[in-house]
Amino acid sequence: MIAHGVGGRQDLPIPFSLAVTGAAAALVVSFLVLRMAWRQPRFRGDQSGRPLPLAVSRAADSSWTRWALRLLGLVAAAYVTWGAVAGPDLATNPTAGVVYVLLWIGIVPLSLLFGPFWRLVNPLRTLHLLLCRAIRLDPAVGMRTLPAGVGLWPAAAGLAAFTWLELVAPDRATLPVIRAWFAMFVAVMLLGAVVFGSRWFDHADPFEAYSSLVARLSWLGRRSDGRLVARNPLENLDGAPVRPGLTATVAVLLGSTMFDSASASPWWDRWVQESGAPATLAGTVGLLAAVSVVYLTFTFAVRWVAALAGSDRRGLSELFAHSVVPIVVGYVIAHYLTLFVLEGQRTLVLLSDPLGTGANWLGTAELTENRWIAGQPTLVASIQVGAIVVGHVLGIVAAHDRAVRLFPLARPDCQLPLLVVMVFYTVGGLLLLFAA
Amino acid sequence: MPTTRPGRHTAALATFAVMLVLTACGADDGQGDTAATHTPTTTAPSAPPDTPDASATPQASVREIEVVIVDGTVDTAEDSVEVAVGEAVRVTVTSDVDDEVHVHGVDQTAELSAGLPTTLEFSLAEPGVYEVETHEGGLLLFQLLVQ
Repeated sequence: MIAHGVGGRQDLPIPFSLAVTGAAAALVVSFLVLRMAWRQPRFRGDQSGRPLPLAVSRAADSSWTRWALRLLGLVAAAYVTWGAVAGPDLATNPTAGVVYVLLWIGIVPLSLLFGPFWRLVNPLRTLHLLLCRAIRLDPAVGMRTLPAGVGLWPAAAGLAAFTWLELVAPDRATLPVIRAWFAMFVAVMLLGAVVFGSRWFDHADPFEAYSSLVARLSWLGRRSDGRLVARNPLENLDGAPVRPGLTATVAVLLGSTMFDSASASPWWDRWVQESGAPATLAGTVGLLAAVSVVYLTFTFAVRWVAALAGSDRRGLSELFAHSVVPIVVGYVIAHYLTLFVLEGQRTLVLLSDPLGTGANWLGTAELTENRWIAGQPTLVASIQVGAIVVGHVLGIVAAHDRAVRLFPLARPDCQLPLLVVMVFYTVGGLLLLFAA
Repeated sequence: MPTTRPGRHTAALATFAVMLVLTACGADDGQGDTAATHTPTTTAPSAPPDTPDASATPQASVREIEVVIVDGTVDTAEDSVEVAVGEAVRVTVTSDVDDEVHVHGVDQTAELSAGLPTTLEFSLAEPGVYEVETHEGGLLLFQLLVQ
């Protein structure tokens, strides 16, 4: 369970019939795509989209807007940090809710709505920028250039470190643990930025990486000529930059969510208790295993696809990894929807009183939480299965289009290994919703 | 066939998938019944219970759950107990060490004294899965499936 201590109730297991139907739907649609979908690539990535009015584009890109957003991020971060440092370490402290619910889960809906917003509000990016301004240095220029093959690998490591904090670390909902993690995180981010320039954040900031990836499923995008456009999320996804470490990044995101729901089940607890292994060790091994399974199955499947298509190109998995993003988003909606709605509201209430003095600084202390969703298990189960299946379908379609672009001469059947692996992720997700 | 746009293809596929899923939902309405047909199971605790035996009283709607903790090992009849929303639940925990038992997600906590059975009585108003656990030992005793 997320950060044991944030959130008490969990969703009921989905009914078996729903799990089976979801799996069947995923399977049927997968084969329909393979057999009947287009054989010429359709998605044009960053070339695509209908331009938003020029005024909107200009307003969004104006330095006023940019500085307003930076200021917002900085003030919000300062406020939360203050509560984390000066507030009491009680369940009423908003810090854990802010970190694990508002930030970590909230990144997904906000990025779907507004695109890669975390780059724009990232308080560490702003701190680095202000620091460079103060000593009259160009923030983009560091002491060294980042080696070319680095790609998203540091971000994947950062995401693994964060999900470890969220799902495994002992006492992870308490302030000393959260403070210690973020102290190290801030140090690594700022030192990296000093050494490599502000590009370090593009490569290493886990929250930016997550936000930018999910934003590839947004309706909002930026065309190659810089204009803001409204576009089909699948076209948007197709434009996701191919970088080393992309596969690892999506593997961490998917594997950690799988591990979260597996480790919330009674059989996991029972197994850990009976094995006698320390919970932290078992959790670390479990998390690494889940991420490794996703990484290895995906890279293996892509290699197999390439072999069937008669290609010996290396690093192909990075060219297909974008297709896992919709699956990740489907999992996140399925696993965290009710937690986000319920705990998100609770956190908003707590945020008004970070020091536990009975204050109401944000005017949210008196809000009554709307717990309607907690009483709707059938609706929630349908949304969960729907999200997983739709994520699967979008993933299959994205992978299909990429395959016919990369291997125009190969038979569509060459995609079969990738399709099987995606069905495996989807059925796994449904199984976890059913059994956990 | 190549005249259709990819967006329409995908939308059709997604709609199809969603329809399949929704059809299944409609067919499954009898979730709540499973809890009612379930007979309450009671295991004999290894320590003699100090609390009065509730099975003698005619109040059958109280769900009895007994847990015994010895050497950090949990002994209970079921890992997952299904109860109805609002159904009274009576949990009796006997631990060989001092601890605290806690229903995660609701304000239900009781002190455990070594060797003495402690009873916690409550009902849950919202459907969901709730973990019952010990604080010091960090043991999961069982899950309550409230539906």
